[in-house]
Parts: sequence; C-alpha cells; structure tokens
Amino acid sequence: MTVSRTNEPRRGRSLLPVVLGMMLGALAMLVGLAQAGRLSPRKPEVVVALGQLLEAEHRRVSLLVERGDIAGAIEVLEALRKQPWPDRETGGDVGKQLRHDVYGRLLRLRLDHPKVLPVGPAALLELADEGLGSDALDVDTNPFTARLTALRGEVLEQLDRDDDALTAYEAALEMNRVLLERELQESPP
Amino acid sequence: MPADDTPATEASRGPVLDPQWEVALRLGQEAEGEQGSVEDELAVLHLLRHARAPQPLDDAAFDRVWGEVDDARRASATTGWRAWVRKPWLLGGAAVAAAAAVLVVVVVTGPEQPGISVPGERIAQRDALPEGPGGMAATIEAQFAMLEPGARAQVERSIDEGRSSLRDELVATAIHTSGDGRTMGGAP
Repeated sequence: MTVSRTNEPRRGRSLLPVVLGMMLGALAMLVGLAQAGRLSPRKPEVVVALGQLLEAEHRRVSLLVERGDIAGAIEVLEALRKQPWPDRETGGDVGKQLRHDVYGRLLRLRLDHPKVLPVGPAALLELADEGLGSDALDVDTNPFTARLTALRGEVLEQLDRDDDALTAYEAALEMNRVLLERELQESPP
Repeated sequence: MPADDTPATEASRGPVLDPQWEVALRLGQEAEGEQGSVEDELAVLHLLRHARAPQPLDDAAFDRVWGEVDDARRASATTGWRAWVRKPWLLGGAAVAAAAAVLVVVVVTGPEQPGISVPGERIAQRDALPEGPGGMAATIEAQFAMLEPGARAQVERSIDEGRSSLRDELVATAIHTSGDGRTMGGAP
C-alpha cells in the first residue's frame, strides 16, 4: 500500500500531458468541423460594414415593394450592384452569400415585373452571371447561391436554352438537397 | 409471508378498523334521517379492513370464480378475434399475403438508386423529376422560402462574430497604445 501511494502523484503527473493533449486535439477537431468547407473572411471589418449596409438596404427595398414601388426597389438594388464587392478571400463565404442574396433579389424582381424598367433576357443573364461570379461553386452551399443559380435557369429558359436551364435547375436542386440533408441531420429525431 | 402480515387481533386494530365503527356510523346516519351518503367512506373502510386482515375465499367460492373465468375464455375463443386466428386457412393465407407483399416491395420498387439515400434527396428528387422546367423553378423558389430564414440568421451570426472580433481587436490596440495598461479614451 505504501508503494502505491508514493507512485500515485508520479503517475498523475505523467498522465497530465497526455490528457491535456487529448483535450487540445478534441478542441481543434471541433473547431475544424465547425469551419469545414467555410472560408472565414480575411478582413472581418469588410463583412461587418457590408452586412450593416445591406441590412438597411434590404429593409428599404422591402418597404418600397410593400408600397408597390417596384421601380424604386429595382433602382436601389441596381445601385447596390454597382458598389464594390469584396472577393471571396477578403470577405469569405459570408461576403459571397450577401452578394448572391442581393443579386437574387434583384433578378427575382426583374423576372416578376418585366415591364418595370425593362431589360432584355441577355442583360438578365449577364446580371445572373455577374452575381454568381467565377467562384460560385467554391462557396459553401447556401440557399442564396442556390436561388441565384435557379434564377439563372429561368433566364436561360426565356432564351430558349432549355438544356442549359435544366442544368442550372439541377445544380440548384443539388444545393438544396445538401441543405435539406443538413437540416435533417441537425434536427432532433 | 413475514410475521407482521398475520391478521391482527381486534384489540390491536385502530378504532376506525373496528367493525363497530361501521355500525355506529349507520346508526348515526339513521338518527339524522338518512341525510347524506356514507357509502364512499364505507368502501374505503372495507378496503382498509381487507388490507389489514385479508379474508380468504372458501373452496366453493374459489371454484365458482375459476368457473366463471373458464366460461369467459371459452366464449372468447368461439366468438372473438381469437376464433378467427385459429382458423387454419387464415394462417396459410396470411403467410401467402406476406410473401406477396415482400415480392411487391422488392420487384416493383426495385433496388435503391445510388446517390439517393437520404430523405432530403428523396424530397428534392420527388419534387423535381415529374415536373417541367417551370415547375422546377417554382419548387426551388419554394425551397428557398423554407431555407431562407435559417440562412439569414446564420449570416447575421457570422457578422456578429466579426463585429465581436473587431471589438476585441480595438480593445487590444487601445491597451497597447496606452502603454501603461489603461485604454485611451475608453474602449467600447
């Protein structure tokens, strides 16, 4: 009994680094899983400023739509379109999602109200492509990108490019499938 | 059976469990002109008395009770659902029906398509495939309406996190600038 008592503190001291290492490893794994597939912004101040601006502008657009001033809402969103947008490295995936949200809303209004400040289908396709950018597929799956992709499909449909439209719809459905899968995994059984 | 479970003598019982209490209660009820009912109280009293000193059934009563149980079982076996279960043709028919159901499931539905293994995917595929392009657009728009609130909340959380980290950076910068550990002009 005396021997085991004298060994206890020594054994505890030898296990301490192992336990600490395991805890640090588990913490790193959790953080890694939480950030998996998501690019954090290099400049969070850009995303914060953009988020605050867009929150106010979205409210303005909602108010204008409620009043029936579709032209005013489109003008606000077109003005946002012209502002400088952060690239994915600077603004991260959140910055891209904010951009896709604005472009999606603008395109939805354009498609639903073709007689208000009218533009041709080619211009609408340019708008969709501009909004999605070249790295839309790299962005972590989200509903805003999926919607903008589907809206691009609607424009392609107007241009009688049915095959391309179907491809766009399928891509959007695939994104939504991933999102629904996530929802089902996160929701309690 | 423990020794404490043996029936107690009348002297050791409490006053409430004394049978005379019931007699006195009924006499009192008669004296008051049969006002009110004491049947509920007496039922509780009988239960207490039975719990205190269980009264065993005699052999005749025991046989009578079991006879009633047997009669009820026989009646149920000839008229209830058990009578149907015991029919041999029904058992054979059930086995055939089960085999047919398995065949229908295996042959008609077929093996599951690769890549379609989760409910979310089934939902998306079911919504998309039977419809034309216009229907697909409407489906995706409906899905967006469903997913939008959660996505907006997530974006707001990300922006809040960015705001929080910015605040921390500002505080740290202010502390370093002051040199003596005090903030310059008050940190947020």
